[in-house]
Amino acid sequence: MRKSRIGAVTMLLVLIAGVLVVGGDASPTIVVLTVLATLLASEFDRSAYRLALVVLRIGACLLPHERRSDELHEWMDHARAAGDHGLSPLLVALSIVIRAAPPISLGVWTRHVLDRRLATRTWGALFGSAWNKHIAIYGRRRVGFRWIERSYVLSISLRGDLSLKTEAQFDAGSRHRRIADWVGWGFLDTSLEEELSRAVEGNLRGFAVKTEELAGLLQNARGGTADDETARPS
Amino acid sequence: VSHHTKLLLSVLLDAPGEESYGFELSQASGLPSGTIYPILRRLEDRGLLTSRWELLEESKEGRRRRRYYRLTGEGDRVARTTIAAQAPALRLLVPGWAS
Repeated sequence: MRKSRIGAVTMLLVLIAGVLVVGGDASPTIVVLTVLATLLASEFDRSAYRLALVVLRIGACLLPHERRSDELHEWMDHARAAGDHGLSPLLVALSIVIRAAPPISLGVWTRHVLDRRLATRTWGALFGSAWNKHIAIYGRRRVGFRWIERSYVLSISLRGDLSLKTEAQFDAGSRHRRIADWVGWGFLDTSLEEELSRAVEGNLRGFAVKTEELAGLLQNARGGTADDETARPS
Repeated sequence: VSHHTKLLLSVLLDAPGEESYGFELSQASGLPSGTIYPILRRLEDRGLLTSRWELLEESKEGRRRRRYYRLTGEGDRVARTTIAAQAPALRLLVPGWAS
């Protein structure tokens, strides 16, 4: 969809008309400046598409490295469709860079930060739960890490609600459950256990839920509690 | 859901199950180039859209690869629910929008 070089031709006509109108009264400086301006405009007109690509590349720098190439590839379609000459491709490029790049970039970075926060909470919860188990087994007073456990449970819920949509993520959910078993969710009090159940249900949402698996998990959680009661020092 | 998002959803609903690429969607919805991609990313992140890159040898075909978008089942349901209430206004705003 290439446009004709009507921009440059128009400018040339305007220049000729200007010279004719001004006639003999035009000073040499004005004439030279006008010619230079026209040449510049013509050059700009000729390389508008390339300039647009430069603008898009600069805009893509706002995005994380792994997203840059894909986004740029899509944006180029628009610049190309706007034509090779004139202001159109440049305006399209500016529109994309100003209006699309910042929100996309912000979204990606926000998710990145949230993921990191989630990871921190997850590892904190694992450490806290393991420490709790250690304390209980060796007969010392149980140190309360319930807020960490709670945040872990909530993080599982969050993942279940927001992103556990695919088979792979379902596997990730299973991994969470295995980790939860390993660190001894049996120490959770009743309300947290219920919370965990809800979280697991959240993780399974969107799939053909294997009810026996869920029942087994809940059974394990209840069995773990009973075992821990016996293991807990009197 | 913003007005622009509704416009885009209505265009995607026009051809349920079919794939469209970004520029095509921009043209069909009348949304500016800069507006459409953040919306597409948001919808994709929410699981309402899926996308895939076209398998194509660019040099052979003489054009760039395209990224095709399609509504997911959930996206289709959400779009229909969202659009239903907006039908009269969208009919005026989107050229050729009839359903």
